[in-house]
Amino acid sequence: MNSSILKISNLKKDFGKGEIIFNEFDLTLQKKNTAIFGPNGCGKTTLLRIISGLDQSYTGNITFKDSPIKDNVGFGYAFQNPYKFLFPWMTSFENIIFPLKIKSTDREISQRLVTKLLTDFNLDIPLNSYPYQLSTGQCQLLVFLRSIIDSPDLLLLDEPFSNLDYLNRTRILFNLAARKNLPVTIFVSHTIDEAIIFADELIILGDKPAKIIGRVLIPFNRSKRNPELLSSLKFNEVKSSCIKLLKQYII
Amino acid sequence: MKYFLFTFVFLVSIWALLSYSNIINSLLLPHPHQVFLYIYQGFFTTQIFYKPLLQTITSTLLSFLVGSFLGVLLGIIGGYYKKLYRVLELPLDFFRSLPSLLLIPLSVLFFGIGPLASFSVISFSVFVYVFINSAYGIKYNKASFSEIGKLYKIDKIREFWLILLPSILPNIFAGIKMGFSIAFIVTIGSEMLIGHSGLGGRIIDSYMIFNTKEVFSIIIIVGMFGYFGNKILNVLEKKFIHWKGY
Repeated sequence: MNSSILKISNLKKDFGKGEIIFNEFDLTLQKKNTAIFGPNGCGKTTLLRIISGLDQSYTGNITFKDSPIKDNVGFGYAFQNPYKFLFPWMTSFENIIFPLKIKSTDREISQRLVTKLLTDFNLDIPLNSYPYQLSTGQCQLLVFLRSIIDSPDLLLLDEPFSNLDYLNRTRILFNLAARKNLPVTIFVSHTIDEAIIFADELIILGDKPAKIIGRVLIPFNRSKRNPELLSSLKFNEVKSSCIKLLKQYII
Repeated sequence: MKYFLFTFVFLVSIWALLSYSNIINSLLLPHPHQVFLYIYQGFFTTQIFYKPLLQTITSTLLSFLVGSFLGVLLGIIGGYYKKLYRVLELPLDFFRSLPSLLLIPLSVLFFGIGPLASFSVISFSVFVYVFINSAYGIKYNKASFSEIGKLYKIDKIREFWLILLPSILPNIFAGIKMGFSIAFIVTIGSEMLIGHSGLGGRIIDSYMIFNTKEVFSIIIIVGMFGYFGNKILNVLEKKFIHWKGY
């Protein structure tokens, strides 16, 4: 029997007004890195909010590593809208280490973890500035760094790099994909390329209500992925197999 | 600063023109130099302004501080306990709509002519504004901020100090700024009504004996106090709530 990393069964969720987001929705994740791709409004963000426990008005079962998902799972969550989810009265540094602060982590250790993360991803963010002094892209990076600073069990990334330029986005994704000790990650993306760079498996969702249109295994060894992949023939083969699944939406 | 000086000189020039040319009778509009001299003497030779100014400042600040403190404290509790807020909503909205000075006669009946009568009315009016603003802050607190705390399973105490309190500081400060203006207005008003104390009482006295120099002096002194009081609050706001508006 295959043991699942994350299993969602019989999920039902609506926002009232007869708008059904999920109806008897089932999803089982077996790979460590999963990318979810789908049209706007199909319920990707709602799904992440349900998994993280921020939205609890649903029915259905969710298990993480074969036991019910609840308080013992540590979450990291890179929210889609960075300005809404950064504390404007805290500096960049304070925002990043917020999860550590909740756990009363020693400040020196926090400092070291931040420095290490910035070196790992080769990022330069003014740590003593406030979010309103930074660009949207930099704010998104803060939210992203906060989501991984305390090594969560389950990392939820909701369009985490949408405001970064192409080069930076690609570089960080390759870096993230090859990262050691990367937690189980669900990565919501609007771009197929990004999903292929990052994930072990790509899940394509349709909408109204949400359903799985297709699943594509990404046949590249994650630790060996590098930017040359983007121009390889195989990359394009995987990409076109994804696009085939989306045909009905494109035409 | 350049514009500030320009406007100041411009206004005093108009005043001087109207007054020195006798377009307006100097009994009604005293000469500028007389008024400035009067203010100078009032502080340094005759010293007639010290006592009333001190009374006005003490009364304003004391009731402002007490009203603000209680307003923030109860406002936060009221924001947390929706039922308490609902119970208090009607009387608070009623008193907010009521010009506070209207309560002075009643207060004098209860507490007698003395500082307590005005203190209770002034601090109550400050309280109403600060309370409403603080409670609104908690009630309409940004859900996304609490969600970050929830994600990391923050406990209630830290949630309050790290998230809730900072996030409502802009509201609290808006209430406090309004509270200061209210405290000042009601202080002067009650002094004028109850009389015999503070700059409000003094201006009535000087008006009775047609001492327009003193009337003008008091207007300038009171105006300066209010002006700099607000300026100080603005500076404090910029310093402590630097993120406001983002």
